[in-house]
Amino acid sequence: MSEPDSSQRALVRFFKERVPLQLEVFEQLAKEPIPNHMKRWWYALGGTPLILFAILVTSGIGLTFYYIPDPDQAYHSVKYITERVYFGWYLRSMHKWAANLMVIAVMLHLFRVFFTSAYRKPRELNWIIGCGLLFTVLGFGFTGYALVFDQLSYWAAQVGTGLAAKTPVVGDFFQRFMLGGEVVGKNTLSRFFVFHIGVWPTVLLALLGAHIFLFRGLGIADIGAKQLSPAEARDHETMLKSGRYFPFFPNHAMTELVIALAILILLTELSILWPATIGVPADPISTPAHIQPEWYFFFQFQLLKMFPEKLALGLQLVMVVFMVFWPFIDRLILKIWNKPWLSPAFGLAGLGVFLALTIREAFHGYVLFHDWFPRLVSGL
Amino acid sequence: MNDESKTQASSPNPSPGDTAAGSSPPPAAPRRDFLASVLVAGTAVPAALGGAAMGLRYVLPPSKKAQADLLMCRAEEVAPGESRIFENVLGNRICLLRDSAVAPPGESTATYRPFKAFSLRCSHLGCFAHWEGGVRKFVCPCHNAVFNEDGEVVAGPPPVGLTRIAVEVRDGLVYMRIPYVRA
Repeated sequence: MSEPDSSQRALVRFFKERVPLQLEVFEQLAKEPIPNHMKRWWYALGGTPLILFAILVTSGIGLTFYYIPDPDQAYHSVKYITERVYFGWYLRSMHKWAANLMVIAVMLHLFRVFFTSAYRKPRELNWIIGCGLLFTVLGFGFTGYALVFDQLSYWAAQVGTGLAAKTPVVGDFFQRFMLGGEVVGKNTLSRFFVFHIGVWPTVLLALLGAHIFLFRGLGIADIGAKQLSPAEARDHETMLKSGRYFPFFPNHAMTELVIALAILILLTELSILWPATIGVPADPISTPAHIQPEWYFFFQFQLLKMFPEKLALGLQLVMVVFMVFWPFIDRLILKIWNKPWLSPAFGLAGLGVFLALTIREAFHGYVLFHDWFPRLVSGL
Repeated sequence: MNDESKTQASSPNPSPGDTAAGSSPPPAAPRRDFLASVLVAGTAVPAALGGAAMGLRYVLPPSKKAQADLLMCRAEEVAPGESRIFENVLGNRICLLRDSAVAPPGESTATYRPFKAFSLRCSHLGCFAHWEGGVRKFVCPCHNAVFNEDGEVVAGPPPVGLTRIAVEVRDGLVYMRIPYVRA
């Protein structure tokens, strides 16, 4: 390391005088103590979506260079990216796989937070913001899938917006808002595109900002140890010396870097082994025999197959409310029954139902339950 | 960081190695640091450059000049001065001509290309012309258009000549160089 010469120092001074940044504050923030349990990789699942988001934004910008959101050209522009553009197939496959991993990563993060009870006081609001982030990610998935405009993606959009129409009171407006007309067409594609590359990213960044602000402000939930008082939590020196904490930078940043590299390798392997393909162009006249949404909507799709429409939608609504307000419901459960195992049991049951329905849809309903289950329910 | 800037402030013109020379013998760390830097630079710089090059190539749309070679026949199948018609090549009818084997005066044998190919679709109204070997002309029966050996209009109503298709001979095989067609 050579000493900076005077011109370099002049450059540093130039910016120091003009950019009123207090580097010491940044250094302090970067070295925030983090509890030792964060050294285990599954606690780094919160950072994983952030890495995937960066990959998705980068690859997404690349894709918009060639994508044309027009019913006549969308399909061909995607085909062009996949087949003609230099490494276009790779970028598109990376985008697709990163999107899938994003849903998985957010869900795993949610389960981790749930089963470690990290959503409890004072982190209830951050749980709710996290749920908002999950729904935004699903919104990304739905709008993005429709943009390909091949048969499957066209009919997924058709069914998805058709479902929205079934929502009581606001359904009809909601469907027209999404479609921009009566059927999936020019306006739909424009709207889906704008939501996919403009609205959802903005919403996501805002929620992400709030999410990070809250968890940095409240500190990471110190599992298996007492919660520090605000005064204690401000004394970083003592915390680091206690041996129960380690600095975010460089230690944890290094973990995230390793995860980022592992994700890039995994995405590349997935993209090579199962590259994103494109089916036949969207045909509004003929519905394909088997239409299926992306796997993360299998659960809802299956609910709709098993129950009458109104009941299925009602169930979904109840589940969403239960999930979003879980921290408060959890406290209520504790207060009433005072059984600590009850909350995880609830979570396991929910997770079990989700997995069961997803797998059932994945096998077109041939496993797990047979005819008797829907019949039993509709008999009720 | 702070200590470093303080040392700089006290000695206005420090040379590299000044600080190490004054204190204890140099530790092993600098060598390790150097090797680590070489390793990092040696992987990060090529990776960044390679990534940037690929990114730039992605941003530029693929060239319209992209071509594919379509195998037509063996060169020996068309005798010097003879022709051969290929039906429905790219939904068209294509005529492959072979000149006499010797290079004409004034042209070196190295650059001499004895094969030529033309689309037989007449540039006037789209009828198929045919090759008249005896007079070495293309003739379109619809409106009596005549084209010479190079596909240029000699007589008749066509506005331009026949579409010429680039031909290449490699290892005794004749290839048609066609523009890349979007699937």
